[in-house]
Amino acid sequence: MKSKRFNAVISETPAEVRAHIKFCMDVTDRLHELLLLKFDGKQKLLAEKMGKSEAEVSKWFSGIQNFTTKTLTKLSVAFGEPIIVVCTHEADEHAIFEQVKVPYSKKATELQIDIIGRLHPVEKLHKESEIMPYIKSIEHVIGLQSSKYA
Amino acid sequence: MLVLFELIDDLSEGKVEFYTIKLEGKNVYEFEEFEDKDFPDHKAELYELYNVIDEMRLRGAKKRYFKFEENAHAMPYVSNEIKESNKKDWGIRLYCIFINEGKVVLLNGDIKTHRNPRMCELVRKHFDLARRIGTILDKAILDKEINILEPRSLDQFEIMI
Repeated sequence: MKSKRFNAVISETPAEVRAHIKFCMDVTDRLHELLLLKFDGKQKLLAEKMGKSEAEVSKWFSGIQNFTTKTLTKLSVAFGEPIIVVCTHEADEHAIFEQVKVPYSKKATELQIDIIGRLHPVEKLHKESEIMPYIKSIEHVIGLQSSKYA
Repeated sequence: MLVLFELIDDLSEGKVEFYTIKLEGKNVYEFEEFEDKDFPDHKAELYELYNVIDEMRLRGAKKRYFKFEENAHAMPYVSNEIKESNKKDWGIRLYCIFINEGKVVLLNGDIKTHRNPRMCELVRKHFDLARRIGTILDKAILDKEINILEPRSLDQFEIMI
């Protein structure tokens, strides 16, 4: 069978609502990833580190939450890793690595940076002079995210 | 009563197979019935709900995206903004059954008007149905009547409730 109105509702969804849902789900996924990585998946250990009650921490991990920047900052400090990264207009001198993520369901491919810094699929650049020393990257780069606090 | 599971083809092209059910004696599927409902005062909420489902198609149906009410898995995402502006009710509930990251059954739902779903005239029957089917499905999985790791294994599957 096919859904009746699902795709119509998705199409008429305002762009900001769609972006908000994606953002909230990204944050949720990141929190669960960091909890596993840093605290063995145990909310109790995170609560102890933050000096919060287990109930309060548990709330953050139930369903999809709207976090304030203050809570996200506190969580970042507790994890010792960023949860979200802001694209700064100048190079971040504290960044110690660049992170490129593969969006869901996208195939990995090779990209090259041309002499003015634009990204192209490998086959589109032919002249040696047009190509900067190439990097291995991914299709549809969603952001080069500077990460980790110095 | 016989319950037939059916794959929702156009929603199942990503990482998740979404199913719905048809109850014996009814002409429409449960999720179709939900889609036909009009929620004029909850439009923003419906957008959020459908977009969470849409994102799941790309990410997989992670357990953390679901709100659990006993063994019925309602699936609402309601932002604080909407929660704060809505003083009348508890918002839309679409009841569903989470099987694993690749399989979800979408059932029916409505506006929840009471904190306890059993006390709400609108969602009570959907909540009860989700619980009953969830329990029988759990048993069928344990008894290996369905292999949940196999693609489309729930399509055309029948149970008695």
